[in-house]
Amino acid sequence: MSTRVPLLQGTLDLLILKILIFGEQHGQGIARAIQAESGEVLLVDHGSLYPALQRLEDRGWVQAKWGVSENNRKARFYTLTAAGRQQLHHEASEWEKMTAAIGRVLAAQAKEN
Amino acid sequence: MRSSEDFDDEIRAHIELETDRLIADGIPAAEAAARAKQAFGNVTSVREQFHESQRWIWLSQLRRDILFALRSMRKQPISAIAVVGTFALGIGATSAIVSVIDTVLLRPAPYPNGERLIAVAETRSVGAPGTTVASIKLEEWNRASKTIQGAAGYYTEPQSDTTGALPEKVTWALVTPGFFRVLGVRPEWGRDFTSDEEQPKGPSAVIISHALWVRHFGAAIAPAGKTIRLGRAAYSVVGVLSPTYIPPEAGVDVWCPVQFDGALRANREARFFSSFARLKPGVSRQGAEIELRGVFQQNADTRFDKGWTVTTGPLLEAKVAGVRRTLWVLGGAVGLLLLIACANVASLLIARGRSRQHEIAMRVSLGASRAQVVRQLLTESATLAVAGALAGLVLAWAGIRYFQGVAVSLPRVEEIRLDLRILCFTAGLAILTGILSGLFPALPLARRGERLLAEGGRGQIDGGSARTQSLIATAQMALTLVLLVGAGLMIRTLNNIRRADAGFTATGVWSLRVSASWGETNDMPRVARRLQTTLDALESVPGVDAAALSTLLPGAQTIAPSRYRLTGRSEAVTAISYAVSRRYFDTLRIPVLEGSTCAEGKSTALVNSSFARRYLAPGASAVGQTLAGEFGQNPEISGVVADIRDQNVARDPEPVVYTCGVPGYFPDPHYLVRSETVTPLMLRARLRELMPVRSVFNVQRLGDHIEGTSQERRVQTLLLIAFAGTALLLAAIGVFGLVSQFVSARYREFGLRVALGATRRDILWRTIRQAAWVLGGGAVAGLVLSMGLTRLLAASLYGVGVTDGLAFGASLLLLSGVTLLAAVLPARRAAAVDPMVALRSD
Repeated sequence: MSTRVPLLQGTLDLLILKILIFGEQHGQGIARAIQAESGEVLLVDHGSLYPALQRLEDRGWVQAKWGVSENNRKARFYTLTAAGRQQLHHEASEWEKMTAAIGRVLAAQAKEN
Repeated sequence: MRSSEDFDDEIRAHIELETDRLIADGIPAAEAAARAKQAFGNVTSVREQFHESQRWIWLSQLRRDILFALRSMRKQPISAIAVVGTFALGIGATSAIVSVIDTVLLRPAPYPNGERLIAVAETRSVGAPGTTVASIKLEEWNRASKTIQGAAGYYTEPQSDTTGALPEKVTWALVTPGFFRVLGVRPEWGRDFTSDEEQPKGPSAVIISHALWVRHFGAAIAPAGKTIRLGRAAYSVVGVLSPTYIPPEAGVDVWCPVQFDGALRANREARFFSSFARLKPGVSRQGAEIELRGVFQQNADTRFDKGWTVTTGPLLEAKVAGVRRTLWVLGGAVGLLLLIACANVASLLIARGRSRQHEIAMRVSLGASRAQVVRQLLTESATLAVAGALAGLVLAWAGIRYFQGVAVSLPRVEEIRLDLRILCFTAGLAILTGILSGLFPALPLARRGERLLAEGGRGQIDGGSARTQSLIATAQMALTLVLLVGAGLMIRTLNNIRRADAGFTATGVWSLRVSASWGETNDMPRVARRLQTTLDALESVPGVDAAALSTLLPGAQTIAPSRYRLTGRSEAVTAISYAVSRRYFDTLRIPVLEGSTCAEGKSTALVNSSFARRYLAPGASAVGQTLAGEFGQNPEISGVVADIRDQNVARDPEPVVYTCGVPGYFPDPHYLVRSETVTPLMLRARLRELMPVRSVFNVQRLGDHIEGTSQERRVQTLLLIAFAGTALLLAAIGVFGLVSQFVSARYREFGLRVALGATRRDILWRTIRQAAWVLGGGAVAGLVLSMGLTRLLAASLYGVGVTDGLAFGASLLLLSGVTLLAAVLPARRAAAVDPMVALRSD
């Protein structure tokens, strides 16, 4: 468990959108998927997931409807909207730019040392 | 919008799914549920985050805050009512009076581009500015001037409207060409006069007011072809003015072109047209005045225009000049009232807030955020302020209606409307005060935060706010004293006026007029015969002791004095000139001090004693001297009568010349009838027998008329009393609040003192001392302030100095009495403290 790191501020939305590109999913499934896809490194606070989902829904990036899970539990399923898809591309490229930039900065420091 | 239940369902579903998943991973069911919950974290906080994210949240919070505010108002109803009432009085009174000032004194004349309209007058080189011009001058200006778009004038006459079964008195205005074009007014229905109609001997045409149209022809505007009869002639109605049209002179119902023929039109001395001009855009009044004067001088004829010049002024200046000072004084008074009201609101809200510091401290320690507390306090004071502003709106509206009712003779009174900009300004000021003072209790919160509960609410007085409250109360006292002194001086003035001896007896005298036209003066002997017949007819009514006529009614508006030459005196003398019939002095019971009254069949005049005093050497007698007047009459002075203070008792009498005889040049004089028993109907009936086409109007008791001349001062006094009374009430509330606060805060201390042997009187004194300090400070500041400010009232006072001891003393006494009374009520509660109860109250 010590290898796990908490999510960076603001990255949860991006990860949710990314997970939903594979198809509809409920909240618990999204949390599980983020953890699984990150090789169990990223720790999703389940509590903060739902306000985030609500935020995405309010902005029209995801849609939700009640359905039944694979093990016959009632659950609220989220799907990506067209706007959400666009937002994902946008946020993903922003993220890549940022990580690349941070990487360059860190590399520069390494040279100096 | 998603419901919170739905959100809760989702959270529950998540925990179930997670539990299932953990069980599938091989974790025992009981532990799986616990771990699922743990992984989720704080459910309540998540739920709150959801709740906060909802967009309607602020609305529901506002609703909750307002409901809370209303609840807390119900808990302290007296202070809530006091705050709302204070807001209402301050906002209402100020908005009403400032609306009046704005309309009457500041707004341009009520015509399109009214700021470009100016009054034009011919004025003698010496003496007061004139008000009228001769129509030939208007023609000259219209021909030659480059600074004005046009000039026009009018004069008014009483007229008899004989369209119906009975004659009805109307006032008509005879207007020079272009009258409505210069004003910028078009009839609502019909048309303006054609140039034919404006020429001598042109077709007859009148434009009438909407009110007269409705009276004669009903509300529906019908096509042309209607006529009305005025006197003996019929006039076709070519236009009807809008009901919103306000004529330059109030009370006019019919407008008719003058249609002067050659001689009168060219007469350079026919200076009786009230005139105005419309400036071209970008031209200043001063610039136009210089040019108009130049044109006047080019055309001047030394025989008639020598000693005359041209003056201009704002169009309505003549109308409003008389009330300017009165209105500004009222404006100043109401400004003080607004200040007092704001102070009161501040003081009340601070007191409210202080008494709630315990509650606030409690709420903070129970987890309310500071923002929430501040928002709550803001909502509360804003709710009070808005309620007060709404009540103020109603009060302002009612105040203006009331003002229009009592100040009927105020110029432009019909134009007064509640001005929303003014209302917004005063309400804004008051609400700002309210909100700022409402936040006051939050200040210690910001300073001391959570420690509040530990120290707050236990009657620990926040020294700063107590001092602030005392200062506010002191300022209130001072301002209230100023208003009280002002009202006191006005009351003394009115009393002096009522007691003053006017020098004649107005009671038992009826005054009336009979419609007549200036056109009749082309046969003056006939006018004189008619006036004499009218007088004889009035005297023949049973019960009439005496009847007389005069060109001026006692208590008339100021009029320009005439010039005379006295035998044996080189320089001219000036005196107000009356033409009166033989029995004038009998009728009004003015004593003849020397010589004899008007003699029959002889050109005589009487002068008053002011005249004799001012213009004759001591010991010399006026009787027997000859007066040379401007109009070619040279009467001999037959007697001297006592001065009368008819034109406003407050003014010193001026020299007067009474020329005896019935004036053939003055077709509509005032008739005066002395009788204890006669009724207006009897007088009307007698005159109707004699001249059925003339209407009898302005039938009134002379006493009422004289009373009416001091109406303006009465209204001013009434309003000052109302303002001072309100201020006193507010100050009393302020002191009451201050002392109550003091008592609540020291309740325990007093209990302790009583327990340790203090007497009730000690406690009472200790409490009242609090109010006494405020009163003392306020009184000193107020007296100093009053000394300075009452000077502004000087012109309205009569028989009383601006530092009148009685007015000052009585005001001080009243203020002290009310203040101490307001302090005694809460002080008694302090004195009645039961030590056991007080000490256990925690």
